[in-house]
Amino acid sequence: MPGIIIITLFILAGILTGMNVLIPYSYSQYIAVAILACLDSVFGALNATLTNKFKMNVFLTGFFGNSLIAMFLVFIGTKLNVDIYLGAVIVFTGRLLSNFTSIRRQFIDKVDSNEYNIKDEVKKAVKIKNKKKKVVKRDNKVEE
Amino acid sequence: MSKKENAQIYTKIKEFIKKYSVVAYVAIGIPLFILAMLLTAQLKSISNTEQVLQGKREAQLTDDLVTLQREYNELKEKYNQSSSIVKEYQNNASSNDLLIKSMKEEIDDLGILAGTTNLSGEGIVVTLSDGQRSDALVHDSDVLTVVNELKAAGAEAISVNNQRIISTSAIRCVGPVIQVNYQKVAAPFEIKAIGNAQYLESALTIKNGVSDVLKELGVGINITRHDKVDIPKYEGSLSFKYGVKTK
Repeated sequence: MPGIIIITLFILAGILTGMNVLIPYSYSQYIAVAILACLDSVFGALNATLTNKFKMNVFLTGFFGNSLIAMFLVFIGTKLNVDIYLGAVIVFTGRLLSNFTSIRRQFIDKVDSNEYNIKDEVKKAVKIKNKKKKVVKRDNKVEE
Repeated sequence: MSKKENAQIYTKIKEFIKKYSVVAYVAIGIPLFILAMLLTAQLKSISNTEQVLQGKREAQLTDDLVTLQREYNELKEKYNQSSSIVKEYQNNASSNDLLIKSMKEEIDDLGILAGTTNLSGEGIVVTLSDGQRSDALVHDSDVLTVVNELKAAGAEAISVNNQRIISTSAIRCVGPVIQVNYQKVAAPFEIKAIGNAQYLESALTIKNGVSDVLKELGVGINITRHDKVDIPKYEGSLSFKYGVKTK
């Protein structure tokens, strides 16, 4: 619980500071690509935690390194007059989507397994009931 | 006492941090903080700028800005030069009036020659217009011949569609229009010339002269004499970059 509170506090603080920061229009491309890189690593981290492969150092280096490299690509692209950042955008969005797919599948698997468990339990309960009924019937017969 | 208490609190905090792995969550939280900040800032500034720029592209705007800045710098430089010259003259004016007077006269004379002053006087107006036939268009060469003929007949000042012809003027074809002094002008061309009106007219209307040739080609040419023709001054800048005076 405290972990979730800490994370939500950080996100809220980020939103509040973001409201008071104005990015110049000429830098918006850099920020957009950096945001994509950050989102990609966050989704990757979520996926990793679900599969119990999460490593803090991998997450941190990926988060900062990817966004820095993406911004660098934008910079080089503007210098060479080629939209190199499109490559970064495609890769990051592709990975983001694949990460999301795997997260979704894991959730669905979990839900499915829970449903199966419930079904099994229901079956068991029904069986037990039937047994009880049989017992009752036998009792009735016996009574008769 | 206080030291002990402090130590106790310290150990408690340490235990708390260890128990709930606060460090790890903070380490995750900082990137999330940055992400949230960037996202909201980006959303906010994009929605702001879109209203202002109305979908104009950034590259276009920077191009405009660069050209405007360059123009501004050039004009500023020119202004500084001019103002420094004016200051010099003002300083000299008080010391020697006579010299200034003669210099002013000389400047006026040279201005007439260079085409930097408005002129008016006796002369003719030649109008060249596209003919009825589709191929009977006025070409840059036609305008050029008329101008050349007028010069040969002793015209003192010539203008084409109010573009003064000076020593560096060029008349050439640029697509569907003609460029004179790097300004686009289109048909009908009104060529004004100051000089002896009779000489000028006869130079054009001489048998097998320019007028006849143009009429044969189907170009409309109309020549009228005037007692007073107004010719505007040259509007561009007169500066020599490469030429250096030699004795």
